Amino acid sequence: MRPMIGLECHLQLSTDKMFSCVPYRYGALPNTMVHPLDMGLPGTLPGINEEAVRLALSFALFFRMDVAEKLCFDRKNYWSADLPKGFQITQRFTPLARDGSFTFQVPNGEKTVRIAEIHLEEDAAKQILDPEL
Amino acid sequence: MRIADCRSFEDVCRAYEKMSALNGKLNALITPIPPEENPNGGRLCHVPVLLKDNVSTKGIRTTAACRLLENYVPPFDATIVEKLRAEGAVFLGKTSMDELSMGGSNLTSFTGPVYNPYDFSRIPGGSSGGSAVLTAAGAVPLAIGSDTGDSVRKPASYCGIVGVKPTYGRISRYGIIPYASSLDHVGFFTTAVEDAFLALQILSGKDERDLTTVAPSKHPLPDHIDPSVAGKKILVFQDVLDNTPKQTKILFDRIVTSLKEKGALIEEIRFRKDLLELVLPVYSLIADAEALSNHADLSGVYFGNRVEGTDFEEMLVNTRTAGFGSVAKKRFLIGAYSLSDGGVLFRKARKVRRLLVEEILSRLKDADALVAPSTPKGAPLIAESRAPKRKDSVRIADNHLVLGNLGGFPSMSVPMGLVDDLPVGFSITSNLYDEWAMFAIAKAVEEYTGLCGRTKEGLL
Repeated sequence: MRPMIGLECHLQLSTDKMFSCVPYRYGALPNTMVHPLDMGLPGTLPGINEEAVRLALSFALFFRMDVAEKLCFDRKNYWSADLPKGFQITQRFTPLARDGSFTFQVPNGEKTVRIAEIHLEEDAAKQILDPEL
Repeated sequence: MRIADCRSFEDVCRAYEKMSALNGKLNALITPIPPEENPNGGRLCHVPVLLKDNVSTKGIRTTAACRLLENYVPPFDATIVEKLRAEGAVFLGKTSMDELSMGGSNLTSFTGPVYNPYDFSRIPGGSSGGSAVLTAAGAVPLAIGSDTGDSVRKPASYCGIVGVKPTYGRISRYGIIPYASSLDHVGFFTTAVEDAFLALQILSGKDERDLTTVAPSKHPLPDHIDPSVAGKKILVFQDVLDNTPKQTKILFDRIVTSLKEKGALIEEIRFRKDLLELVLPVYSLIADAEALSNHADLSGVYFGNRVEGTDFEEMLVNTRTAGFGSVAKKRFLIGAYSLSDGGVLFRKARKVRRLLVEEILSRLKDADALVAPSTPKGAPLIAESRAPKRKDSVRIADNHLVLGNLGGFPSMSVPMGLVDDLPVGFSITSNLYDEWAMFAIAKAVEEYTGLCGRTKEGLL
């Protein structure tokens, strides 16, 4: 029996926020880069960060993946204090691209790693629970 | 009352006084806004406008008639607020509605019931009841509402005014507290078809912040109303008429005859009965599922009336239990049921929705409009509306307006006259983006009835 190991990797893209499209800067002062959509304020609607889509497409093409015909997003609904909208916008059913691979050299020959799929989504920032506050 | 009647800031202040006095009897306001001069000129210069309380107004409380949002003050304006303000409008208040737009009676606001100006023992209809009654009572010439399952057109019928729901995507929903994203439309009330046409010009347009809005270049809006209905093909919705009481039918038939005399081509049609019977279940399963998801932000963490608990989950439960009324809770449960088991029912409902829309589209695409009485009768009594009869609610005569939401078709209600001293409306639904045909027919109906500008007077 051989173990099969899969890895789920989250890659933060070097661009503005995915759906509110406001800038993101590491180390900025708190509450200076917040859009009402990030707060889940009622009535806000998501946009699409086109640069993020471009970056993801570059990744897909580099790894020779099959790119989806349409860009579709789904809501993953659950309750969490770090999830202001009460759902995460992700691509559960229609990932951006599928079935890529990456071949590289190792001491005794070549190895190929499959990339099953990539999809775009928003991720919450780090949550710090401070009982003092 | 007409848009053209408002010429000065004094007119606006007078409107505010009248509105405040009327509100004592109608209970139509959640938050009055003392008028401030708007330096912008424009097509709504010195025109007092009301906003349904699901429309975000920066710095002004916006509650969607929900206890949980009782003290919520948005830090931004809805796109339509910016558009109206840019044209010179002066906002006089945030109007009452059914909680989170969930209802057709305007009995579910935390501020209490709204009363029909034609009979205080009756509902105005909902969910945009507050905007409807103040327009009907002549306080303002234009009031904004929203229409998810008839919530502008039904109150327009019950209050004897013009109520418009344009094609989905014409008007930006950015900043409007939602019910169901695929069914919500911004709509509005006026007392005259021409005023409604102007409102549509001002409110519509592509908005970068709402990806569902359409570019005017792709689907241009007409710049005037076609004065003729000659040659227009009008389909009469027989399934609805089969269940319409005689008095309402008489009013309706007279109007259809007048359209025929003006050269319109009238054809009676029926749709698949098995599909029509599913309108309400399809609507509920989709709307309530979308609402459950949309309102998952109402948790008390970042905003809203929070009720504390020992941990996040307890706080969440306490906040939402205290913050919502029973109708909202019931609809969230329906939504949860719809989405359960991987969303089997929800997906099925969406398939049936497509069948329903294709059924209507199959005839509507070759016609100028589908017409019917907006409601079979005038407004029901408040006492009857608290526990509506299940049997009534499945009839297509009571629910046909929802088809405009399921398909996104432009649809409006124009006053027909009175049945037993209560207003009823004439409903016109056209093909997607065909506001040209819809308004032409509406204008012709208004010309025949002579009800242009009519308000309910003598209330004070």
